[in-house]
Amino acid sequence: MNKVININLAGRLIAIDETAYHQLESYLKRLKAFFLKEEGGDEILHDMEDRIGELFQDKLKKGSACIMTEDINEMIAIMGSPEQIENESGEIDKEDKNNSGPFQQPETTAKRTLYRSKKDKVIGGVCGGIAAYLKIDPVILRIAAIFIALAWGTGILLSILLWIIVPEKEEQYSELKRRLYRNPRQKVIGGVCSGIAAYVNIDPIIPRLVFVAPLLGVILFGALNNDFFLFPISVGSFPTMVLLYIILWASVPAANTVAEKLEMRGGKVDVQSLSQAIKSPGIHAAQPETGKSGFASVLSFLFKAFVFFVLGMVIIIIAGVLTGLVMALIGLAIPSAFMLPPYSQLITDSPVQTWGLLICAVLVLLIPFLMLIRLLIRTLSGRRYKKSNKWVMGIQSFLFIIGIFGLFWITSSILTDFRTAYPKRYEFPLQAPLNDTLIIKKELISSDDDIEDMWEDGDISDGYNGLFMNSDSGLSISNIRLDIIPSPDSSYHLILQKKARGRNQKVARERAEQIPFSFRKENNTLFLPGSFELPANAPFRGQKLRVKVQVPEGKVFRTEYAIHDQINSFYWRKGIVRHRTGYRAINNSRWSSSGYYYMTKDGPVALEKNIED
Amino acid sequence: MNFNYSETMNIENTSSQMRKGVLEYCILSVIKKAEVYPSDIISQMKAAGLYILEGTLYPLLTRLKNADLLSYRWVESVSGPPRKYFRLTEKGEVFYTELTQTWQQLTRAVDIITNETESDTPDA
Repeated sequence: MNKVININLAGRLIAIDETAYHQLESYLKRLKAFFLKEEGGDEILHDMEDRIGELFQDKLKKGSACIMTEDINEMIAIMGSPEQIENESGEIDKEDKNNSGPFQQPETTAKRTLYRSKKDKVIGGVCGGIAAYLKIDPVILRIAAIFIALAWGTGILLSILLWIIVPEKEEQYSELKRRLYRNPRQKVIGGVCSGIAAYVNIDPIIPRLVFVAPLLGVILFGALNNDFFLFPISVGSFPTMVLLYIILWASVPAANTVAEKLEMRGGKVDVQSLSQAIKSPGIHAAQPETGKSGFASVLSFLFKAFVFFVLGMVIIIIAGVLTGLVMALIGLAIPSAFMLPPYSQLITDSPVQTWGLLICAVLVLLIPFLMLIRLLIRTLSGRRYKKSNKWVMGIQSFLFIIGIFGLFWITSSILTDFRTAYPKRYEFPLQAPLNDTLIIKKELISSDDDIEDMWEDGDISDGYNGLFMNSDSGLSISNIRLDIIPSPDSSYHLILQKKARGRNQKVARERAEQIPFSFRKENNTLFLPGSFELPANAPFRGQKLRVKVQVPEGKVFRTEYAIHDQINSFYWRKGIVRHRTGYRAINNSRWSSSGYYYMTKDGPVALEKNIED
Repeated sequence: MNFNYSETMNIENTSSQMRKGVLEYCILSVIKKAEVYPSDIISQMKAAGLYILEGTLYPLLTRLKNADLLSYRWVESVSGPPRKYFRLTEKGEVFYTELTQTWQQLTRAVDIITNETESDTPDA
C-alpha cells in the first residue's frame, strides 16, 4: 500500500505515488546538482520541471490514476540522466578549451560554500570539505593537519571545531578537481616528485631538486665549508625531506588507470577526455625511461639504495614504537590485575563497583588501541578507504566515552570514601612484669611459608607497609605502628587506636571498629600482632592500628620481634620508640631491635650493656 | 600502437558527437520557421526522425539565449501554466545564416567524400 501525494510541478497539479515521488525527487536533485555549476542553471531546471510536468499531465489525461515508478523511469529515459545530458549537450567551445589546455581549471560560477565532505572523509570529512572548497587535494591537507596536530595539538581542536560547525554535504564539484597522485610512469623512486610536478604543472626535475637539495647541500657544504650558513639548514632539512617523501609515498596513491592519470593532470574525467587521453601518447603510452647514461643509472641506483636504507630504518623505528606501545599496554594491564578478585576487594566497595571498574578500564584501554591500529592500516593503505561503518564508529566512541565517564565516576566515588577519618581509642591496663623488664614480641603467624609478599616498601613514612594473602585467601595488612613512650603514671598501659576512613563518620567508625586486634601477655612477654586481617569483602580505606605501649619511667624493656630480621624491618617500623611529641628519641641507625632500653622522662635510652654488645 | 579503439570509440559515442554538432543548428532552424515553445521543437524533431534526449534541449536553449541568439516571451496557455515561446534575435539570424552556409558546405563535402570512398575503396 502506498500513499498518493499531490505535488505542484512547475504550476501543474500532479498526483504521484509515494515511491515514485522519492524517485522524482532524487532525479531532480541530481539535475539540480548538475546544472548548479552552470550559468542560468535555475532556469534550465525550471524549464525541465515544466516539461516533466507536461509529460506527467499527458499521462494522467490518458487515464492513469497517478504517476507510478514506471512512469518516472519512462520520463527519465525521455529526458536523460545528467551524465547523458552532459555528453549530448556539452558546450562545444568548452571542449575546445579543454583540448587546447589540459590544465584548464573547470570554472564554477555557482557560489561555493564550505561543507564537510561525505565522500572524501577519513574522520569527519573536514579536510575533504576544505580541499573541495579550495580545489586542492585532500591528502595535502591531511598531511598538513597531521603536522599541525603534532606540533601544537591545535590542529585537533580546530578539526573538531570544524567537524561540529560545518554541515555535511555530498559535494558536486569533487570530480572536477585535480588530485595528487604518484606517477608510476615517470619515477625514480616512488614517483612522488613527478606526481607533484603533474599536479602543479611543472617539470618533474624541480620537485626532485627540492627533495635532493638538502643531500647535495650536506655533501657540498660539508666538503667545502662547514661554517657556511646553508650547511646546518641542509643537515636539518635532510631528514625532514626524507620523512616527507616517505609520508607522501605511503599516503598518495599511484595513478594507474587512465581516469586517475587524467585526474592527476587536472583534466575532466568524461568520455571525451578519456578517449582523447587514450589517443594521446603522453598519458597512456609507457613513457620510456629516458635512456639514462651509465652515470645517471648508477646515481639513481645509489639513491634508491639509500632511500631503501632510510625506509628500513623508519620501519624498524615504527616497529620499535609499536613494541613499546604493546609493552606499555601490558604494563598497564599488570596493575589492573588489582581490579580482579581477590585484590579488587581492596579498591572497590561492592561487586558492582568491581565489575564496573574492570569493564571501564578495558574499554578505555582497548578502544583507542583498536582505533589506532585501524587508523594505521587505513593511512598506510592509501586513499581507497572503505566507507567507514558509522555504527561501528559510533558505538566505539560511545563505549569509550562511557568508559572514561565510568572510570571518573567510580574513582571519585572511591576517593570520597576516603573523606572522613575516624579514630577509635581503647585503653588496656598491663600487669607489671615480674623483674621490671618488659619484652615485646611480634606474634607469629602460624606458618611463615604462607606469607606472600605483595608490596615491599619499608621506607614509606606512615606506611601501608605490607600486604599479603593469608592461607585462607583473606587479605592481611601490616599497617601497624608501635610507639613505646613514657607512662604518665607508674603503671604499664597499652593504648590502641583503630583508625579507618569512610564517606562519612558512621561508615568510618564501623570500619575502624571492625579491625581485629588481639594481644596476649605471658609472664614478662607482650605478644603483639604483626598484621591484621581485613574483614571479608571490606575495601581498604586507610585502616591502621596504632599501638602505644606506656612504660613507666626507670623501667627496662626490650623488643624481641627479631624472628626474621628482614621481615621485621618490613612489617614493623624500626623507629618504634617515640617521644610523646612524636619526635624520634632514638636514631634509627643506632636502634638495636633486640637491645635493652630503659625509659626516661624524655623517652627510651639504651642501656650501657647494648653498646658493649 | 596497440590500443583497443572499440572500447571507447564505439558507435554510440561517435553518433552522439555527430548529433551534438547538428543539434544547435536544428533547434535554430525550427525556431526560425516560427515562434515555438520547447515541446514544439521536440515534436517537430521527432516527426523528422531526430530523436534526442529531451533533457539536452533545455540547457542548449538557455545557453543560446544567454549568448543573445534567442529571446523568448511568456504566452498564456489554455491547458496549463504559461509557456516560453522562443524566436531568433537579429544576432541569431546572422548566426543562423552563417551556420546554414557551413552546413551546406559540410554536407556537400561529406557527400562527396563518402560517395567516393564507397565507390573507390577496394575491399580491404
